[in-house]
Amino acid sequence: MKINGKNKSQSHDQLDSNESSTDQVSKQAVRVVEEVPVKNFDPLKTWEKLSQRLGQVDKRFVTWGLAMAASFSLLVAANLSLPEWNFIKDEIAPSAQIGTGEKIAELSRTQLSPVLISKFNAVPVSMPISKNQRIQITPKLSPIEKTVLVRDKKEIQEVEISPLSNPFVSGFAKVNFQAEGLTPEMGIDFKVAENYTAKRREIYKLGVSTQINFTNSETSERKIHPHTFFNFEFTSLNKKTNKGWTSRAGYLINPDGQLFQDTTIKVSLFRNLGKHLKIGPEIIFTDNFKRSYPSISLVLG
Amino acid sequence: MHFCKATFFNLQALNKQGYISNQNIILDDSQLTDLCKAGDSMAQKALYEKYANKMMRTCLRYLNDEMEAEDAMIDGFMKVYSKIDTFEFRGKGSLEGWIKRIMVNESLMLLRKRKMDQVELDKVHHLSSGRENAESQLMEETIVNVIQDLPNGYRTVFNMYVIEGYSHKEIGEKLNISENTSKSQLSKARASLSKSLTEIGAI
Repeated sequence: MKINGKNKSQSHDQLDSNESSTDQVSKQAVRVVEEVPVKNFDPLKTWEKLSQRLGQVDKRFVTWGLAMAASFSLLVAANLSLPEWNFIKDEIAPSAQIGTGEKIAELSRTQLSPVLISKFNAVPVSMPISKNQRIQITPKLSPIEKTVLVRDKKEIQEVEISPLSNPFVSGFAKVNFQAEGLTPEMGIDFKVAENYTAKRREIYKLGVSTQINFTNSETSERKIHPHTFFNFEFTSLNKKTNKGWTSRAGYLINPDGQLFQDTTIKVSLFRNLGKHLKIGPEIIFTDNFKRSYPSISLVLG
Repeated sequence: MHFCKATFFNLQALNKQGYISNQNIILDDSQLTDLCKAGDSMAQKALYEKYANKMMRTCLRYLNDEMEAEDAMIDGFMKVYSKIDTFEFRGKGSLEGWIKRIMVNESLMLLRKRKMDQVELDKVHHLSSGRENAESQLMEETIVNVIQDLPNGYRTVFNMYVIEGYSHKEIGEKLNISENTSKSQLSKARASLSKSLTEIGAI
């Protein structure tokens, strides 16, 4: 037994000494080799690549800023027309007097279009306007003008001031169906602008959202990766049916370097099925647009 | 001609000490850190020149592929420059240690990516066959090559534990494996390496 025990301890000692000598030799070799120039490695060429990348960092931010500004301007130019209050306030003198006492007001009125005249006469300057009130235009016109108005009746539009129906802050919960599985997302949005056209309501929002991605490690452990996006959202809804489209662009603030790295942008287009339900495709572009993750998203909120 | 050659080698030696070429000054790590924090491009270059070779070697030890090692090193230096504000100089070697950790992380990230792309086997095979043709190299270089030729998992754990000094817990966290897996990989790596080093007469 003793002999066996001795043999065992001897073999352990031998193993330990082998371990330590392997480690020591390896460490020493690495230390020496670190000072030896790497074959086929040109530090200057690599520096050129590195300095190019250094210059691109600033450009990436500028490009992103410009792209966001350009898309916002395009949206504004295409759709946004701020409510025109000026025509209510600016009142043309109904009967401008000249020195001789002769009235010329009727003459000047006939040169204006009947639609404009109707608007000018209908709304007094000091008229109080509440949010829920609709202004009814009742023109004071001469018989001739009335005849013209009847003919152009279809062209007269109602001036409508709709209420701000949605709250300033809103939240949403979202599920993305990706190739890798389900990824939940929660976010908060702040309304920054709202616009009304004859048929549609357009809403502009800024907000943040957190998307949770799951990965499986080699030991089958589930790892959670929270990703926070800064979002810009544009929604166009039919005023009567409350159906329409929502487009959203998001910029990843905290790339983890594993699933998403470098510049990561998310773009989505949702169909508003109801007031609180949307569905649509979403694509996440990452690694400076080298990789993309498409998904189908269901949004509640 | 002889003079020019000597000057060139002197400059190369100086660059490894943090030499800023247009100002004829040699900076230590602390000064280099401060200048890099201030965004000085010459200091950034001096820092790169000082550590490029070492860091390339570090990345090569993990990735075993020159192109990928270069990519990892470039990404690593990008991180160094962008995060240098968060680095606190704590004496000699702290900057080098910090940069090395960043390089190791970048290499591990690339390894993960490579695992997803599943192209590793071809590349490793290609590299090892190329290495066999190398005629003259230092014994130390041969030993490092033997380490680099270890299978991916063994090599990573061995490098992290023995060379970089990470604990099994840290390795587990970084590689998403359990501590026991890390220990077992290290043990297998040591056994394989010991055999190879004995064969080449290193131990």
